[in-house]
Amino acid sequence: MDHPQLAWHRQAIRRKMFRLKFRFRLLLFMESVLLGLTAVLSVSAAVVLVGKLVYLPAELRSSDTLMTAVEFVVFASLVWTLVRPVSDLELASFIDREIGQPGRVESAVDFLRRPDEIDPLYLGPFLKSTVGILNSTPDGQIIGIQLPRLWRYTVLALAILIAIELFVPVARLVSEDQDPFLLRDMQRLSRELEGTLLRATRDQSVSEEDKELFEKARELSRRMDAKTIDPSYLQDELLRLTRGIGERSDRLRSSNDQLLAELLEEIERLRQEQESKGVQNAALKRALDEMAQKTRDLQELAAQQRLRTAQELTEAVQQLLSVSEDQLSQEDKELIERLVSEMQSQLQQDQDLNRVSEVAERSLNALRKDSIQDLMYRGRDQLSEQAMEFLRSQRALQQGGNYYEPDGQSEGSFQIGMMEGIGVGSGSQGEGDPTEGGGYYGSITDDENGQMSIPSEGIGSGVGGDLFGSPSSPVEGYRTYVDHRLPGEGSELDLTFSTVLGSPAGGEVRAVAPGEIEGSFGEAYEGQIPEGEYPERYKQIISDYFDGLR
Amino acid sequence: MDDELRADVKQPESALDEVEPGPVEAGDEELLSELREMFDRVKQEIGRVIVGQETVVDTVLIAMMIGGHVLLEGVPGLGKTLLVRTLSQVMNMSFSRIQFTPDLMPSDITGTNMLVETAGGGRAFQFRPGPVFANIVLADEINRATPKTQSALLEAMQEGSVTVFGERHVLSQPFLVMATENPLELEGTYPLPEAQLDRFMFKVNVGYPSLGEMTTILRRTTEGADISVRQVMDGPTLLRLRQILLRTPVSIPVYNYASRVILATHPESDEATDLVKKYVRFGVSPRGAQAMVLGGKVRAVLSGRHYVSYLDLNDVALTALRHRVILNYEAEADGVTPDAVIQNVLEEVRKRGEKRFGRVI
Repeated sequence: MDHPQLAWHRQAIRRKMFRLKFRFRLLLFMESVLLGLTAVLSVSAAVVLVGKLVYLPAELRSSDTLMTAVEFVVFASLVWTLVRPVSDLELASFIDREIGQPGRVESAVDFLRRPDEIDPLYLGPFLKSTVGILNSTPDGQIIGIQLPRLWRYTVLALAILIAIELFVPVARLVSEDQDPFLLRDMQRLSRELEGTLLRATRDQSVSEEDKELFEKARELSRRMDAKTIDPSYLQDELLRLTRGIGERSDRLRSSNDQLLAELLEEIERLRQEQESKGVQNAALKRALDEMAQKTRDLQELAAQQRLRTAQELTEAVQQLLSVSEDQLSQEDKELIERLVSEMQSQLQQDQDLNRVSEVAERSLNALRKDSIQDLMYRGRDQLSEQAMEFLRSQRALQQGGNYYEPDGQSEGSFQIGMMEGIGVGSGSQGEGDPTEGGGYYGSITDDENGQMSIPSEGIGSGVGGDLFGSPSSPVEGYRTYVDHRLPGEGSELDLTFSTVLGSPAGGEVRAVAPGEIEGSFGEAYEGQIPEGEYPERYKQIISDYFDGLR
Repeated sequence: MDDELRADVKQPESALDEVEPGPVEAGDEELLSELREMFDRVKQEIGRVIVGQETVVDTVLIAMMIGGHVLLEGVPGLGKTLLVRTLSQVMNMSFSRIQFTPDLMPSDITGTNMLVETAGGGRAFQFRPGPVFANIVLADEINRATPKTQSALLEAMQEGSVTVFGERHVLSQPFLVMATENPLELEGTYPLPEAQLDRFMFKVNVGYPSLGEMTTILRRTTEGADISVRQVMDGPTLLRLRQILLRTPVSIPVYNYASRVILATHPESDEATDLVKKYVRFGVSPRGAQAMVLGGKVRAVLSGRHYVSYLDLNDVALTALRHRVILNYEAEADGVTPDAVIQNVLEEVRKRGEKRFGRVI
């Protein structure tokens, strides 16, 4: 075989193989992707199957993880396809198989590397026939771009995954109480909710609307200082300001309530989801309780924020009043004082509404706790009564009365301390018979016959109640609020009796003189209940109450 | 990734173009192109006498063309002797038949020195060639002779010569030994030693004819018809063809394949299959690989190709390897045959070859 012929054949074969090598790499890429997908789907199916038997971390079960794995497979396949060495002999072997002539192109590649060792009698005709076959066969016919046979296994793995997901029932082999992954997931979810609520509360408190109201108050003050204000204009502005405060309070309240409702709904959904799996999961229950606790904290935070804002507004108006006292007529002063009073009333309403939310939350907690722990112990009737009582209180508030008259008892406003875990409520201002305690849900009323009802969430006494024993007691004539809480399972009852009104309630007994509360908002009345003088009967009530909770 | 190919493309052609292809002898191309036709004519002439047994005939012809010896195993009456005799007639080559018996002596095969009178009245030893001095030697029922006598063929088969009384006598070429053995009557026989078995290029199992073939045999042999064959090839032509066939190129991957197949029959080798490790006592010698490659060359050329394919090696693998695989007693107990082991080896090596490239496309 002469040199030009040999060179021509060599170039022809190499050109053909260069083109076919691209197709070969494309096939390798498709094959590796399918191989990786098959592996990912198989592992996913195994994870889902295992997840039916034992709890697995959420990040392992999430579709994001699956998508990340798929993306990794595709990227790794691409990289591997590009960097994988493809020798001429390997490609030739593949071509031989595709054209159905094992060893032909492979031999051609080998012979071209050592043409001097090959008998010309064979080399020339062989190369000629090989080039002829390669040139007469289209690239697509030699290495067709078609789905590798591996796709069957990929589809099979996908079908298995779907079948396991849809048809394999949940059968926990490992108790979820022992499952650290579940607890960790719930704690993480709780933290996420907490973060979301914190942000929402913060956003609300610094809204533009607040700034606008403050700015308006300052503007009024400046104009009164400059004696340029018209009294009628001042009246209009103050009315507008008051209305703004009211509208804002309404929005805040509805927003806050909605937030609370959504959170509680979420908690309830999680619990139902777990219960639908037929698992009594103490770990999950603890996690949900923790979430509820977080919600209460946030609720308190939001309420404090609102309270602070309203107080600031009130102060601004009061400042306005004081600054311009000598420049306003008596009629104007009265008007402003009335407006300020109305704003304070609005402020009080905000507090009350906020506490209604807390009552709702505590009620839900009570219901949940009872349904889980001691339905048999406490009974459904009592729970139903509590729920109805709550509904009545809410209805009364919605009707604008801002007062609630429990079971026809004497009229009285109410105050609810923001408590950790268990709150306290009591009638705050009874003017009638001392035995008719103004307490509502959450209070203990003690009548003359010594009969007591034990609330689920709080203990208190009515005005003049002899909860503390005889009238000769040091606390005679005081309205008594009792806050308490359980520090923890197995701990001793922690009752700290102090009498600081308006301080953050954290397990105190507060004693407030009747008649001192009304009209003394923001003031503190202190009185001390000497330790060691608590009647044994009261202690027994407390003890029985917590036994019931347990 | 494609560095190798790009380097090849950019590489100047001078390195390979400077190689001067070897001259082609005049007439080789024509002879090569006529080889298949000649092969078909030989088969056709043999077919006039031998009914059926195409695989046997093909294998015998391939061995004859490349210079190998054949061991035919089959029950009596299947036409083994007739095949060899007919082949010698078609090829116009000398033929001798040696009926191996227990009392057959080596000199009965190789020949011996005889004391003869010289022209001057003296006496001298003169070598009287034995039946081995023929182009085609039929060693009938070779396993009935003693090992000593069987080994008399060793030198002839391997070296193409015999040594008698220290004097080496070269056999005429082409030289082809066709041995037959009966697998049934083993009493009073001497199984061929492995060394001698290894000298046979192929071992062919001669089977029974089919119904149609049997009918044809009956018609031909019972009606008194005189069947004669024509001579279509001679010894010198065969030798020249053999030289051409030996030059058939084999690629390195195909050589590697043959080597892997042979290594896979060695139970102590890493290439050995599980079946081999369990049932094989001794694997195939390098002569087995040679037989595969040489047989593959002939098959490639007869198929009209100028290169040897894996399939060519596979086609001759059974006949080239089955008598070289020595099974253990466990294999005999389990009824495992050498053919089964070789088939397993071929299959496993094929799969490994695909795995080697990491392809499952």
